[in-house]
Amino acid sequence: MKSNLEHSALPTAEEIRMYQDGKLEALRSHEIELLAQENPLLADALDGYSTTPSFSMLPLITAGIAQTAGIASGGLAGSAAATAVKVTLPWWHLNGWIIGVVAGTTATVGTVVVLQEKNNVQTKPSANQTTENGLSTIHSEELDTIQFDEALESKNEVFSQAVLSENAQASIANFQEVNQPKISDAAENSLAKSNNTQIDRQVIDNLKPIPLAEANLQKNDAVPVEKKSSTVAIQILHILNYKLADYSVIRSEEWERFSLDEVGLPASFGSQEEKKLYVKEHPENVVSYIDYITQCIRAYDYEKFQQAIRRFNVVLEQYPDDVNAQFYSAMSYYAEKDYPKAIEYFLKVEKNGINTFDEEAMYYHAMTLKTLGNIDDANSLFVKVIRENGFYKENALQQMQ
Amino acid sequence: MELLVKYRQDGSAVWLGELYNRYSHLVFGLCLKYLKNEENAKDATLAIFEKLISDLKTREVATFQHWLYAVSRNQCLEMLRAGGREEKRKVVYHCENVVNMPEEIDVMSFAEMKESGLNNLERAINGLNQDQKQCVVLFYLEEKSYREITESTGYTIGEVKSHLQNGRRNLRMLLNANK
Repeated sequence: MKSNLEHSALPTAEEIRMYQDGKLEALRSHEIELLAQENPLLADALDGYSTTPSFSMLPLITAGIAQTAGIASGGLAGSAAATAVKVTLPWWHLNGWIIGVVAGTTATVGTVVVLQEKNNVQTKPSANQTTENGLSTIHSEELDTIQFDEALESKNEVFSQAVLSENAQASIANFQEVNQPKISDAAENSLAKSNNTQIDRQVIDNLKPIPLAEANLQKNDAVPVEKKSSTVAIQILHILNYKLADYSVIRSEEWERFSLDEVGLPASFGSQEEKKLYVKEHPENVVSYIDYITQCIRAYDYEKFQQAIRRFNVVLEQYPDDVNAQFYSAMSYYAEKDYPKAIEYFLKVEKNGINTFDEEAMYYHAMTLKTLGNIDDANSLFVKVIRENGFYKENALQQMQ
Repeated sequence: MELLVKYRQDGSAVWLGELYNRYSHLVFGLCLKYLKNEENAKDATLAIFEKLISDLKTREVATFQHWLYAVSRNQCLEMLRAGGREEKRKVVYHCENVVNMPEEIDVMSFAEMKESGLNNLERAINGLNQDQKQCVVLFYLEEKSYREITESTGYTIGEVKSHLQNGRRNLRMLLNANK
């Protein structure tokens, strides 16, 4: 990292939102992308918002930070309080709205959020600021246009009985920390009941999560692999201590048979009919799938990876979606350091509807990417492995550190 | 850094609050990436702030952003490690676990590459494969955004990023080989 990036060059939350929506001008988009290449914090943040665009949470986070800062500073009384609310925090400006935040600290109440209609106005604590029942109240002429009286009548439990000044005509939504996530719904419920509120509904819309469909549109494909939506867990069997998907449940009891010729070198048949004929004529020379795959695994176990690859190929010719052959082929290529081939087969396993090797495949796929120096994609996969919460979780965590 | 100095002087977390607010939307985005859940990501973002309050009292950090990135990432990994229901519980943080910034291995910034001289750079760019060359030229020389590149080339954003990352790595190798 040799960047000299100033924080001022970093995009605001609003810019990121516009960027994700494709509404930010191209030159600034380019700047942000350039910054992200040298700034992993920004790069990860962009990735995060692209898949989970939860911009509605940001005001709550600001509120939480203000509260924590206040508590850690021994309360907001006196000069510290004034400092807390006077600081200019550019990203509170969401679409021209200010979410002013004052932390209530003298009692056990949560944070107080004031929705303020006027642009670019700092919340001004004044001599009018009082504390009653442990709730902070702001008296400000700036808030005159907001009439939330009826909103307060809402029985929604999220809104406690905020102290309301007559001339401020402002509603202060007070919420306990545990209820913070409900604030957007709660605010909307309350507003819906208010007949003469002049507040634009846009401010509430800003607090809403972006609809899922829209969120999906914004999703980019930075993560290299997308799983099939449906996966099947089938029985597992072990051969020579290696895990395998037990296809006996989904394939016919009369498993396709492999000729003994194939155990060693693949024999080719012109057609399935030709093969069936051979099987019929030479029953002594054929082995079942399970016997054949055992031979394959044995080669793998002996670290004869090229031989294993050849044998697994025979299986794949007959069953192109055989996950056992796909996975152990990938592992053989990985062992042979043929990484492009390994990735090709890991991808097949990850896309395979049978999920027996999902975790292993993702882990070793990530290891392969890491070996190739593609740290970003490797890390994305390691995160997926960690989220699987299985055997490879610890290893993946270690690899990421 | 001025705010950090002020924090050390009077111990008022308000200064840190101001500092952290400049980055909290990025930290939250990072947490979203790792935790994939906005509620957990919010908790993590606030937990990271608490960590800053306790750690920065004594700890000297050379570059706040780099340190913040390492702390944030470790917080998320810790939460993932705790897993399942425990994700919500407050994570006790151990200073020793803070890793240093992972080096962006094998990747140098384009500005650094330019220092090798434009002739060398041009030659190196011509040594890239077609995909990487196209993306590198459009992004670095013509200063197009990813979106514009996807529109003019038909690559997905993921492919553009991948070509650029690999392109930069290969450029570095080509430039080093030319030296």
